Amino acid sequence: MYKIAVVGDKDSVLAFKAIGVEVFPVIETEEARKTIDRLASNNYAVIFVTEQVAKDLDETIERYNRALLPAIILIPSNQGSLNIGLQRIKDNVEKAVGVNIL
Amino acid sequence: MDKLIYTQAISRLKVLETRLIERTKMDRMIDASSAEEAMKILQESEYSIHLGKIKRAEEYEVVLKDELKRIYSLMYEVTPVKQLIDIMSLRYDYHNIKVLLKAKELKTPLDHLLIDVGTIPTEKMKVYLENEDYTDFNPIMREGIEKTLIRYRNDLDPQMIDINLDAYMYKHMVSQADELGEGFISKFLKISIDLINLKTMFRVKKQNKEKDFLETVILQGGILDKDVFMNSLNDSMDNLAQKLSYTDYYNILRLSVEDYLKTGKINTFEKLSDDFIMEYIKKSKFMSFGPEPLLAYLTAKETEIKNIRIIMVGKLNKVAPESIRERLRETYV
Repeated sequence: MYKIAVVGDKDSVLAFKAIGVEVFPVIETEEARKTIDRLASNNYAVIFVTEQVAKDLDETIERYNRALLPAIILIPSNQGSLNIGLQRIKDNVEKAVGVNIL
Repeated sequence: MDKLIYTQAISRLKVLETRLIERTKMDRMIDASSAEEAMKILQESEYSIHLGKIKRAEEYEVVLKDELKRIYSLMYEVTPVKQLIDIMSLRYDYHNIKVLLKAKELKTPLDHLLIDVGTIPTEKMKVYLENEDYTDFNPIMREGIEKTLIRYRNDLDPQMIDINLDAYMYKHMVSQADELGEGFISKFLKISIDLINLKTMFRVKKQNKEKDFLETVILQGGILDKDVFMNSLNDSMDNLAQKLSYTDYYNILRLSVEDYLKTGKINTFEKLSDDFIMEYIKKSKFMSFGPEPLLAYLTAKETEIKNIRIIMVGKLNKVAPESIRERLRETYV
């Protein structure tokens, strides 16, 4: 069975534990990159990543974007949104529908 | 018991009390520009010896854990009566028991959650619980573990592990305090139990739980009788506060209920009840004999660790200084 994980700074992601998602607190960019790579090769189908972490990981995220699995979903952290996640949803909609309907 | 046996320990602790982090230093930490800067201020305190172990401010928990360990080993070194410190460190034993029971029953490793400051070393505790060998345990602790396991295996609700063991923990602490026969410590426990029960009331009412549930979570042994709580389940918190207007808790209840009605949060109550305990503990500031100052120093130190945690979490998450200051507990010095 596939699993769900969330990667980000400890205080933002810990609450996900309560709903049964596996939590991986990271601090540095390098650490985050390694964690995401490890999760991707370990049967995780959905990986939530906080925007604060994702903003420095463009290349890694782009790489998994082209793969079928895992789906990397950006979420805002407890310090607010950087609008990267929403931008990606808009881009995906545009790709799927042909025009940005949002 | 002879109060003079504590004299040497007290004079030593009075010196150490001067090294507690005072309010002004806490304020400087709160106003620091970043978590790293706040950490640097700790360099000027007793915490400096642990700072070499960490590279980043995010690892502050390591420092706090080491300091807690150091304080307990120090307390065991200075105290002439081991039982006195046992009362306080029992809380960590029960914490470890909870962690290990859950790890065992849920078959997940949770070792990183263990805190090695209890009366029983965690390694030993692990072996005992693994083999279900409770011969070395105090009878109350043993009964607690056995009853908890039976209950848990019956309805498979992990929350029951916490609820059951908490009840036994306070029973155990009270029985140790009774054996010691020190009024100050017994009252300290009674106040703690009352405050926990009041907090439970807030939460039970917020979650609209049944009377049966309340019955299992209200602790016995406080100044306020269990019936006071059982009979007020259907009252509003406002009414409960009025009912308790004859007690010392009225003031903090009144203020917390006000905030609770406005925000639905019990943060104020948690802070005020910590402050209430601190106020009680401060009475021992000028005592030169008896066990009071030992308990006071330990509580002062635990509060200090809690405060540093509040500051560091706040700093790392960029919480506004005013909000951090509001959450900070009353300090001993």
